[in-house]
Amino acid sequence: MTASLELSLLVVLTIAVVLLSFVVAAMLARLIRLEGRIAGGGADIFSELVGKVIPAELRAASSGLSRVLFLAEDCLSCRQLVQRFANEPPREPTALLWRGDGIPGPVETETLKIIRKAGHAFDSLGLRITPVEVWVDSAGVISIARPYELPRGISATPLVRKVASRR
Amino acid sequence: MLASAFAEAGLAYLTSSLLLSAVHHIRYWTQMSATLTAHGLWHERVRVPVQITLTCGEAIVASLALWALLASDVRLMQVTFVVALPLAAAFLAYVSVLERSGVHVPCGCYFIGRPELYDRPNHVPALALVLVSGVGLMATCFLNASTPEGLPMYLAGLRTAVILALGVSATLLVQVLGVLKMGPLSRNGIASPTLSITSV
Repeated sequence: MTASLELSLLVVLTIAVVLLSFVVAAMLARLIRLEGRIAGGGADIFSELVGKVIPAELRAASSGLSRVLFLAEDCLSCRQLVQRFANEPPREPTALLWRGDGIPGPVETETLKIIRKAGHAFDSLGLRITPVEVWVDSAGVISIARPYELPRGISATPLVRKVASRR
Repeated sequence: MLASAFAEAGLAYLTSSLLLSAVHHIRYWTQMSATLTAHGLWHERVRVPVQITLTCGEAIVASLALWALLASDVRLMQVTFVVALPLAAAFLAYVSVLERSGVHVPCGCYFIGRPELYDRPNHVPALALVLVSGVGLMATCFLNASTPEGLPMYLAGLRTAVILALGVSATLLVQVLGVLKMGPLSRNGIASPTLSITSV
């Protein structure tokens, strides 16, 4: 009786271990794949944006500017960047799309057009990472999309943070 | 029987997690040194002794756990868990201190994944060690048989091997879950060291 019970338990345990191994292997493979995408610099992430058309209302609000920055309130680098813009407006005409409630930085200047609470634009492009710089042509089609190169003195967020969304 | 299963599974987990950690620490000795330096909690003079003590401690407790598992000796199991529990608790306390200090470096608790991609300590492996040691210790209090009854020798060996495999799988599962918890990988699947990710 005891032996048969032990044997049954052993069989069940073996099956459980095999199944668990499959689960672990699948998760491990997924982790390796995701880390590979991160380590790859995220080029694929941005190339997916190229060719997309920015929303019409965004195009109108940005007054046809060809350079668009996507910044978010819950991104440390973005907040620092906006504060920097208060003292040093960008040289090139730029539309700044801000995701979040309050923008910590600048008033609009000749070269900087700010569009607040632009969460819908982020959503429509499937954009979840910031800061991102996008160039659009006259038809509103994205021709270049890349991570915004932070100027000296602004610390890049050391690594990724996950925060609740706020529009 | 249930107590025996818990105790043996706990020993298998201790064996695999500590042995793999020790091997990883030896293999990536320089990286471990850099991680401890980045933590900023150790004086330069004690860093190497800490490294040696930690690695040796892991290897010793892992060996003890393996010995107890293979010998099915209840007293040895109790000794193993009694030794492992305070060490695991100390490890958990260390990670908690790291978390509170707000450092943007990983805790060095993972032997999978790329540590350079993560920026904060995580208490999952330490917590798992504490739980396993505690539950294992409690389970040994209900044990009185020193060997599993009723199974022929070859099946008893197979049983031990399966339990060890369970320990390795559980260790890897804890590691993967912990690494996924550290970053936004699980939700977004994309990231870059200079970018922030917002959840939609």
